[in-house]
Order: sequence, then structure tokens, then C-alpha cells
Amino acid sequence: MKHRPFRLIFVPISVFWILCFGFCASSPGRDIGYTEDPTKIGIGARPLGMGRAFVAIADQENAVFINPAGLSYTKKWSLSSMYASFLGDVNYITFGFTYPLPLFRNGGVGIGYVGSNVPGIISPTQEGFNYSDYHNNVYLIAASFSPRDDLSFGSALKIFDQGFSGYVNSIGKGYDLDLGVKWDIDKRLGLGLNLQNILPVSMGGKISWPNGDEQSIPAVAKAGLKGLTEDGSILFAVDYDLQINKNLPGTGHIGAEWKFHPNLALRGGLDQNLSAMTGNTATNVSLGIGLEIGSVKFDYAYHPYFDESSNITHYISFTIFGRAPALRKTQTVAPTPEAAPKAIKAATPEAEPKEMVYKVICGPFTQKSKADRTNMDAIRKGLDSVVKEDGPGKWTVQLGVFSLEDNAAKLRDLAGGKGIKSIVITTPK
Amino acid sequence: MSKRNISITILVLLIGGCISRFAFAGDVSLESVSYNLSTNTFTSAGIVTTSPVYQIYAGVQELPGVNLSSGDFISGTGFVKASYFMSAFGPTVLAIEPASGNNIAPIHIKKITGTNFTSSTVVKLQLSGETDITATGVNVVSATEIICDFDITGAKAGKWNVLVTKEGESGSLLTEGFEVKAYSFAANLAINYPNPFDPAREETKVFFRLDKDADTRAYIFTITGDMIWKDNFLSGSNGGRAGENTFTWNGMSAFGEMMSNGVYLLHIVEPSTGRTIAKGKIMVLRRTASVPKKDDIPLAAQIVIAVLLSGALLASGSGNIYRALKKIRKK
Repeated sequence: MKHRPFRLIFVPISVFWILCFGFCASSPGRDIGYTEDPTKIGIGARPLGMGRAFVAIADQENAVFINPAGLSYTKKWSLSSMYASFLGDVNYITFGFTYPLPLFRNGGVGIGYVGSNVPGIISPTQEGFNYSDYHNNVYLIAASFSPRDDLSFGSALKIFDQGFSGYVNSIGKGYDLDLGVKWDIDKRLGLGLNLQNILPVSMGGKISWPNGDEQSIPAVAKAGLKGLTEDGSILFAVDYDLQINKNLPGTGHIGAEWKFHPNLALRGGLDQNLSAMTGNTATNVSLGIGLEIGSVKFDYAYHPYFDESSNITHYISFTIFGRAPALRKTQTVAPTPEAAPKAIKAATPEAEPKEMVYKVICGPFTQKSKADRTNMDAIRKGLDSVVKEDGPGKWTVQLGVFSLEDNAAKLRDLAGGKGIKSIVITTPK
Repeated sequence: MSKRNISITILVLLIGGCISRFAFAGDVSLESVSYNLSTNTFTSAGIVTTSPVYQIYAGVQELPGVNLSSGDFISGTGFVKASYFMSAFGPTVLAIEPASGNNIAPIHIKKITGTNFTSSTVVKLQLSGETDITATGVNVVSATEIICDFDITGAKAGKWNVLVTKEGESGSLLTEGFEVKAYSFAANLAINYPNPFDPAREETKVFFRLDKDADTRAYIFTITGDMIWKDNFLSGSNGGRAGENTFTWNGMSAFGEMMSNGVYLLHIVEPSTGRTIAKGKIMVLRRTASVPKKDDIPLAAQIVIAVLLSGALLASGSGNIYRALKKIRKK
């Protein structure tokens, strides 16, 4: 009985959407070509190192571009950028900003920019060479919300700006929409789906050119599965991209990440692109490495394409993370030194909801020099550590605020360490 | 004194055989002539004259014992003045302007001067061992002047003959009248003309140079990394020979799609080593709006999207809706 209103409303709203799309589909469109969405190249050296298998993983700085539902998994604000000289010809640069925002439990917002630029295109004439530049840029505004702990939805509005400048001058503009879903089957398995550029032409999903020509933005359904090993050290993912409105073969992506050190990760993947060589697809190997120190993350990916030496592309990403947003609830579960390690061990991914945040404190110390030494050790380990004076002759060291989702390994390391006196478990606002 | 090859057709109804004889008026002499019995065609290997306009008398002599029927132009056994032959003589070419061009793009010929130009006049560039380059956009301004274009993109450098003919017949030659010059550019560059091009209307011709004969492959990529077209060229043939090489791309992918506005990356690769020999960037820019048809998102996909949207909407708001309904019920 409780769910009857849900069902009662679900059906008419679904019918409304179907009728809406159905109306659009029956209206005359145009026999148009399909433009290129530059986000297809891949965003972030981490996903690219994993063969672009990331739809189910997308959780931090890359969520805006790959699966906006992943914005619900951001715990801190992040500012990220990536650069590559794609195939040796395309200057490819991205910027992204994400911020956790509690919309319907968890949520997040983000903005992004993807710029691809091809300079020095030659138009020969009898008098010599004339030069033009081409750009294909996308601006994204994304938001997500989580109606349930294990389910999140997200959407990204994409504004396209592409065209030629120089000897040839023509600019096309348009917009489209991405819809993403993430579902955690359990603590180690998850599914992701991102429907990219889903707006039909008649609803505006197109690029319009000054001469009246209109070109569609290809709609792609990207579905992915992710899995995490029991100790949390290896993450693997499989994606499949299905072309919705183009009669083209689908492409698959497989990737894995091994976090062999709290700050270091190795990655590898198999990435497919369309290939005229085989009339279907070609599989390329990708490799990557990640280094995270404190609130700074550096990722690199090595990605050859089609066995051609000049096509080898090096992707470099740089990300800065901010602090987690203010906490509302605070519950001390390990008020005594003896209880601390046990409580941390209990706080495994299986035991606690993913949104829990763990504040780990060392102390109190009666000498400030000892607190400083502990603090420095923690900073050297890449922790976001600070010393606090709790009273006269009493200092504590706050080693950092951690979420289980992205720092399970760090918590386990801390559980075996010395000097941890209390753990405070809080939930964000 | 100019020399021209001509082919003359006489309407003759032959039952048996005959002997042909020609006579000319004015300063004209005939080098040789042959007659094809099966096609009833007289062909002169060369007529030497100082004048581009002259008269020719032609006729047949009946062989003994052979009956020759009467026709429009031949009767009896004597010569017949066949003044209509004058128009059968092709045009002559005297000069071309400009007389040279770079082989990186088509060239517009401002003026070809000569005689007897008509609407059926065909203009070509010829070089031994190379495919003829036929003029496009031929505009016969007058009987003595023609304007046209030659696509000399990727043409072999050298002095080409200019041939002007009447369609289907022999014509006049301006020996080494036009020079194709090799434009200097980086060896690892592939260029194409026109750039940009509109696949709905035209093809683009790609031009690149090789240092030596080699097997090559041409790949075209989108800027998102899909390989949409390829072609193989054998060593020593066009595309794999030392010097100038050309091929055309019609803007269609190997998957049957006409490519849309954008830039496509061209790579010429040595397949044995994976080494990139030359690179180019091809612009596609449609010049007119495309033809209307139905929309592009399949119904099944629309239903999935619709259900997903509804689910998201309701999942987020179901609690509030439920509470609101509960309140209404209580009231």
C-alpha cells in the first residue's frame, strides 16, 4: 500500500515522456550528418589508463564528463585538468570542478570544459598555402542526487561550440543532455549507465551552422560494471558503448587499477575504437599510473592507437582536492584509546554506509614537540594532518577526515598504527 | 605550318569495295589517308596547311563491276565537293595564359586562344606516361577564345602539351605549352584540394610525395580517434611511388556514413614499420542545408530514456509526494 502512490504517478509520467519523445520522433527532422563529441576521447588520465572503462566508477573529478550520477560520490571539492596532444594533431585540454552538495541525501554539482583544437589546416591555392584552425569545445553543467544510499542519478547539460577560424570562417553551436545512473549492487560491485546526447534533433540536440545546415550529436548509451577486490586494492571495470542513432558497431572497454600503495596506483586497460581496417573495431592497450599526495593527485596514461608510432598519446591529469564540507552530526564511537583500533577495523566498507566520514585523532600529547613530530610523520605519509591545542599542556593531532569510499586502505593502515586515541564518525550535512 | 590529324566520315553505302581519292583547295596537302571498310571512315594521318580553314574535296571511285548507290554527298564515280567537311576539322590552339601553375591546387586558365572553338571543344593537358588532365568549366567565349580550369593538384611537374579537340575527333596540339611546377613544401605533409570540401557535392584530391617507392597505407581518423577510412597502395604504383602521389576521398566513411562538418586527420603510413610518412588535415564543411527526413532517436531508446527520466523524477520526489498524499487523506 505504501508504494501505491509511487506507481500511480510513475505510469502517467512515463507515458507523458514517451508521448513527448514520440511526438518529436514523428516530426520532420533533417537528413543530417553526425558531428563529433570530443568527450568521446576520454576525460582524465585515470579513466584513460583504464581503457576508458569508467562509467560505473565515475566518482570524483571525472564524473561531470563520464557519468554525472557519480557526482553524488564526491566528498570534497575538486579542481582538475588534463592535457594531451591527441594523435599528435589535436590539442586536447579539459578542466573540471566538482563540489559535493547534499541534494536528496547525497548529491553534487560540477562544471566542465573540454577543448579540442586542430591548428594549421592548409587550404592550398595557386598563390600558396592558407591556414585555418578548427575547434570543437564542450561546456558542461552537471548535477546529481541520490534518492537512496545505493542509487544516484545525474544529468549534464552540454553546450557545444565548434567551427573554423582563419582562412575558413564558420561556427556551429548547439546543446544536448547526458543522463546518468549509478547503482551499487553491494559494497564491492556497482553498475553505471550514461545516456549521452539523448536529446532528439527536434528537441534541440543538434549543431546549427550559419548556412542553415544542422548536424546531430551522436547519442551513445554507455553501460558499465565495476568490481572491487575484498581488500580494496584492485578495482576492475568493464564498459560497453552502444551507438543509439548511428548504424555503427559498439565498442568495449576493460580496465583495472591496482593500488599497491596508499598513494600509488598502477592501471591498465583495453580500449576499443572504430576501425576501417577491420570494418569493425580495433583494440588498443592503455597503461597508467597515479600518485596522490595529500590533496594533490597526479595521473598519467599512455595510450597507443592503431599500431602507428605517431599516434601514441600521453595524457597528463592534475587534480587538487579541497576539504570535505562541514559536518553536521558527530558520533564518537571510540572514546577510549583501547577501543580505537577495534572500532576502525569494524569500520570496513561492508559494515558502514558509504557516506560515513571518519575523523581520526591522535593524542592527547603533553608536549607540543611530540605532537608536531607525529603531525610531520602524518604529513609525510600524505595525510591532511593538523595539530590542535585542546587545553593547557594538551595537544592532539587530527590525522585527517576520511571517507571509506576512497580511503579504505588508509584507514586500515591507521588501524595498525600507534597513538590513535579516538575515532569520530560523522555524517555530512 | 601546323599539322593536324583528322578523321572524316563519309556516308557511303558500299556493296563491295571502292577506292578513295581526296583533293584539296588552297595551300593544303595530304600526307596519307586510309579507309576503313567496316566503318566507312576515311582517316588522314596528317594534313599540312598554313591556313586553319580550307576546303576538301573527297570522293570515291567505283571499282569495276561494283555498283555504288547514290547518296547525299556521293554520286557517280567522280569527285564531289564536300564543303561540310570544313566544319569537321577540329579547332586549333595557338596560346594559353597563364602558361604555368603550381601542382598544389587547380589553376584557372584566363585565356586559350585559337580557332574554330565551339561548345563541343574539349581541352586537355597531356604528358607522356601520365593520365590526361581534362579541363573543367570550359567557357567558349568566342570561336577564338576559351576560359577553363585544370585540376593540376598532384600532377607531375614538367611541360605538358595543350590539346584542343572537337569532342570525339582529332584536334590541335600546342607542344609543351603549359608548365606544371612542383610547389615546395615539407616532405611529411599531405595536402588536399579542395579544403574544405562538401561531400554532398564533390570529392577532395589528396596529394603527397614519397622519397622512394614503398607500400603505403592511407588512414583517415576522426578527431575522437576512430579510423573511418583506409586505402592500401602498392610500391611503384600511384600512392606508393617515388615523387608525386594522389588519391581522392569522397567524404564517406568505411561504415557508409557521409562525414559531417569537422576536421579529419589523414595519415600516410608505412605498414611494415608503422612509421608515419606524411600527415594532413582535411576539412569538411557543407555549403548547403541538408534534405529533410525523420528524426534520429529510435523509439526503443526513447522509451528507455523516458522510463529512466520518470524513475529519477519519482525516486527523488516519491517521499514528498507520498507525504503530501497522506496529508490530503488525513484532511
